[in-house]
Amino acid sequence: MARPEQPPNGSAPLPNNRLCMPTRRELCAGAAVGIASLLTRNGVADTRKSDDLLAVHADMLYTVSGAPIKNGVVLMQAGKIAAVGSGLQIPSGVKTLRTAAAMPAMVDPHSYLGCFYEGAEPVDAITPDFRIADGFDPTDPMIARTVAAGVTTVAIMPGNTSVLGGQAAILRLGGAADIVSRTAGQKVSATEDAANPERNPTSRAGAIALLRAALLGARSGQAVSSTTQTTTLAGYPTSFSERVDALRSLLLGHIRAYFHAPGADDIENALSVIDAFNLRAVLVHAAEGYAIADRIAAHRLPVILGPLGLADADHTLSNAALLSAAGAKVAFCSNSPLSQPESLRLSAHIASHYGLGRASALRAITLTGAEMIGVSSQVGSIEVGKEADLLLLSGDPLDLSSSIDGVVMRGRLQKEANHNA
Amino acid sequence: MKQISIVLTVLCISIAAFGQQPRQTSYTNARIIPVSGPVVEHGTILIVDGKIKAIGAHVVVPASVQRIDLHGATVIPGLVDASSSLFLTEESLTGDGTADQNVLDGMDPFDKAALKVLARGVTTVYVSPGSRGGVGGLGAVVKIQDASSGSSQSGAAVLETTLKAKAGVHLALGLSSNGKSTSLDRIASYESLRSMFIGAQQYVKQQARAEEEKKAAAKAPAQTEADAGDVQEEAVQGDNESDADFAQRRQFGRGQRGGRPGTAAAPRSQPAQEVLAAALKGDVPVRIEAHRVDDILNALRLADEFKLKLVLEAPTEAWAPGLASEIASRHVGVICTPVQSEGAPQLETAHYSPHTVAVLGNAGVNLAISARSGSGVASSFLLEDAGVAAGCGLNRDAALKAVTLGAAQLLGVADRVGSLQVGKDADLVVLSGSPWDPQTMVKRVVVNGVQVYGAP
Repeated sequence: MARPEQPPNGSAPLPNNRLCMPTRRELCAGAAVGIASLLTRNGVADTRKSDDLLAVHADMLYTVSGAPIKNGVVLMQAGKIAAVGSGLQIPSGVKTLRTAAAMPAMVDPHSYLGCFYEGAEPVDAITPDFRIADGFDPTDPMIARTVAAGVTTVAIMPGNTSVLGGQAAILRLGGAADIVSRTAGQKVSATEDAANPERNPTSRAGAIALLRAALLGARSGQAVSSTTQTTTLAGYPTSFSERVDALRSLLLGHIRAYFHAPGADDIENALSVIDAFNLRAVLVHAAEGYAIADRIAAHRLPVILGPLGLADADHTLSNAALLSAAGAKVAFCSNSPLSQPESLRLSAHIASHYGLGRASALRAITLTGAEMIGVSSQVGSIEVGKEADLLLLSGDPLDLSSSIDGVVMRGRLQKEANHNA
Repeated sequence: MKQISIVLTVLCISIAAFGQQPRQTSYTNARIIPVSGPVVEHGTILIVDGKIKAIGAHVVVPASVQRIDLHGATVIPGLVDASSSLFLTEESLTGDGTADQNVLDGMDPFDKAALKVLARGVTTVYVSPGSRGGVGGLGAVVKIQDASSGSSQSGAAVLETTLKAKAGVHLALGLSSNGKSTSLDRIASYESLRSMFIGAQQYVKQQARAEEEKKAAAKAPAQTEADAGDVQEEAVQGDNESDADFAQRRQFGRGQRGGRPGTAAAPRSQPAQEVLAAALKGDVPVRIEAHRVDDILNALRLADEFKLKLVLEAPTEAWAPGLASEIASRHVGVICTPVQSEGAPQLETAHYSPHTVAVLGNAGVNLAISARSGSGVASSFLLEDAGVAAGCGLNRDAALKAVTLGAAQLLGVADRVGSLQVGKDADLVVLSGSPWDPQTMVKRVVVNGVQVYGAP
């Protein structure tokens, strides 16, 4: 089960050990004196070292992990968040960015960024050894636009045209996009999207049968392929063990299965396989999730919803609110470049208009998505010890007319985030 | 028969007159955003016979007039979508046709999306035939009205009333259906449109010459009979139009090099050419979809050469340095799409920037914001489109103007709609709060002074 990872305890030391961290209780009390003494005690306020220090003062700080903080201050050091609180005194000499509002940088839990044309190996529908990271283009100009739109952590995934499409990857964007993980979960699409008259499966039921066969095969150490020609393809005999290993880590619960399941029928099929093999799973693009929201919630299955489009039907627009009301966790993805990276905030806005609570809507584009791709201990909220990835906004993040005036990544303000208008 | 129709007419008129008796309403205690001027706190709007009679903080409402207290709710003008496909089936926007194909001839008044669009505060739409194939047809500006207002809305037909027919003729530059348009294709598509307008110029000259000859003939009574004979012969010919003629007429609209230059005989009136002739006179705006810098420059060049009243649609690369001022200096209208519709990346939009709309707006371009979607229901999110534009650097007032008064001006219907001003149609939207907040709801929609959506 994709249980949210606990954020690191506030008292844990930063990796570089230059700061002793105060407890979170101290911070919540707004221990300005504590911060100042902390910094001087460790000599960090020394101007020679202030270049890796940055402070943000926001009239309204949306931490996402807690209630919004008025006059919130975030102190960052060496790319991590060192302190968070209301009215904290910022040591002199520390560069401070003032803003109307700040929130965590957004997390996109399902994207084709830099790999849109590399999404699948069409010959075989069972390619769990396929790694989307190997098809990633770090020079894709869309990466810079994604950062400017306020998204700094992205999960890229294989497409929906294979039954077992391969391994997802986690990217941390920035000057050079870093691939944090190349084996971040298995993409599953036992749907009509995986049907192909050129090879097996040719139907939705056939896709489910193949999925079961592949998982059962892996249990007994046997690799399964959907095409008889596979054995003639160069390189496959060695990759077969990789194929089994990839599915074993799925069966052992080391990685998550990301089930593409748009229809209620697809979701039912996914639930049956998830139950049968006791998989850790996340539903992706569950557009008809509202129809069986109670069952999804009872299975404690998190749901990634595709970007909400302006032409969507009413029940699609209400989907997030209905799933959330039933108790399911909901996050939004962009499917970039199919939809623009700016669509994350738009999805949260629309879902909020159609009944999703404001806090849940904001969480759905930050921390909830981070939980679903297993990186919530590092990103997704403004908490001590996490990556210093923040967005500076002109107002409420769910208000579309609020502009993103700056993107802080790893404790540094990214220049390209400022609009050229 | 005649008597019956007279009786019916009298009956209708008397019913209408009776119905008009109580058509005086006022909305009080409102935060009015008129768009044409500063915000009015605690304002009142007095409506008489569907028009705004008075508006402001100190309006005196006669005792006999109904008062609706809005308790501080926000009132904005009915929204205007400058490029919609409401009342059309989904394929319509990608249509290929001739310049004379009029979108008004193919609209479905039962389109279920219309009520949804109305309920989200959009009261006027430009229905666009699209232009993906190079030449589209004629678009029209219509108002959306709920035919069943006052009664149950379920399954109600939505009537559209035309504010302006022939409100634009659609062309496109450099668009490819397969995403693989080459530079040569771009040059060809520019040359094709240019030839089309040259052909239209020749057509206009021929028509003028024929008209002069006709006048001259009319002065000489002896030739009258012969002329009448010609006309009759022409009519017969028109009825039996050969396939070849028909094909050629279609070719014209498709922008192929055509026309019959030097044909001395009086040319038959050709509907597609008539539309282009109207465009050359500036009576019908020419809407050109052009995404890339070269296509945008080509569109401006066409406008310069043929003195067209140009509206640029979706100029994706207009953020490129210097381009915005070129557009602004020509007083060209621009329709921007801050929210790209979902789909595989297209060559034309590879250099998309969410800031294009702000770059253009800040350069003083006549701006409208629209989803320009092939799906009619997308018009229901016009305010969100404007919100996204504001979030990308356009100031909020300009963003709201681009979906109200700015759009109305671009469409040539600002004398009727787009702002809350005395004398204009009483089209207004009552919001529970700020137009940009996600949890703001549309409480009421009023069209021509009649509430068509919201609590009674």
